[in-house]
Amino acid sequence: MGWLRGIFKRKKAVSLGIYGSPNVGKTTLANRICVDLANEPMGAVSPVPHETRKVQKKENMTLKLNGFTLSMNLLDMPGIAVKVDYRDFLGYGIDKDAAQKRAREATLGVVEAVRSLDKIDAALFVIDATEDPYTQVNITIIGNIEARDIPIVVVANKIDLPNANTQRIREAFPGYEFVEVSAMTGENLNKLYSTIANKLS
Amino acid sequence: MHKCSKCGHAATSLEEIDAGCPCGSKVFVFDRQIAQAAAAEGNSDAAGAGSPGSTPGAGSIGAPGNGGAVAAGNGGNGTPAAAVVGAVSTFAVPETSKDKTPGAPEEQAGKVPESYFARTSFTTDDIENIKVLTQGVFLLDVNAISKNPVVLKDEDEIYYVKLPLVQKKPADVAPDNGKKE
Repeated sequence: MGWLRGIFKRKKAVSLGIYGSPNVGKTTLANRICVDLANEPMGAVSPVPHETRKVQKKENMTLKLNGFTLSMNLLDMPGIAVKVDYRDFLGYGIDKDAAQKRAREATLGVVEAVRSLDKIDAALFVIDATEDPYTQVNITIIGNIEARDIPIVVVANKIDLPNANTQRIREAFPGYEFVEVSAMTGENLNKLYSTIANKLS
Repeated sequence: MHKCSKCGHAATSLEEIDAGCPCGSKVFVFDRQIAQAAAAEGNSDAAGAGSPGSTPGAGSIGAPGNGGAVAAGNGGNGTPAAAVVGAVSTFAVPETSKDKTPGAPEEQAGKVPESYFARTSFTTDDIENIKVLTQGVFLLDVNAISKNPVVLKDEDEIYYVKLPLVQKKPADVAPDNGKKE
């Protein structure tokens, strides 16, 4: 880990990317972090998938914890999916033209998120604790982050929901730093900050 | 004019591309220079059906204007060849037999309908690098296909993304830490 410390000592700010599938709570988590560290939210959240269709960036936020100070740029990535079907949006009261436009933008967002893997220094990979973690997106993107030697924290989100099951996420991705949180309620966010600090210090 | 990528054999018809080269290769590369030279000599058959203003022979195939197109034969199994096209270029592939309108005068003359060109092209606004034109017929953006991820758009305008296989970070890409945009 010495080389990692060396990297972060040289750089002014660490680029921390928030990755995951659509609707796992990436922007909710980003908003929570931004409000905690910079007193302003990152972006809009919506029950409609692919609400975040461009990389959102909040620069030069400072995390101070137990004598540790980390300056970071937070990047909220569009949700990564292997299929974007405009018909999925029609059920939310969106007309066909708007749905097709949204699908196009969402696909562009997926491309941008994947390409941004080359620009981040560390990653939070968010997984919905109420869903099956064994998905192509989860496995492939975590694999890509790992292969790039990018420090990663797996975040099991939505633990406030009654059907949340964090154990299967632990079992699916053993060996990774793991934190279970509720971005909605703020539960365990301090533990997440502590894990980030430990991972990057 | 399409040349075999292996031996350089020139194919002058879709049937020839579809059947594959006598050398065994199934990949043909569109050579714009040869096509232009042939067109300049008044050899409209060599210029291909896609060249605007030309009067191609029946069954011929070509790219209008831009080069960089590749046609892949299928070994003669009855389905049409796939088309591979560079960015912002157009390339015409005759539609499958079920999609054809039998007896259409322009097709009887071996000419691809104008409406087909509008659909069978890539523009700089396209985010997909593979289009499904109809069942068994694909249009590929050669320039973009080499970059991950591969994005396919099907006939129903549904997008499919092939996530990149696990790969190391490119050495020449520097992180943008501390940079102001």
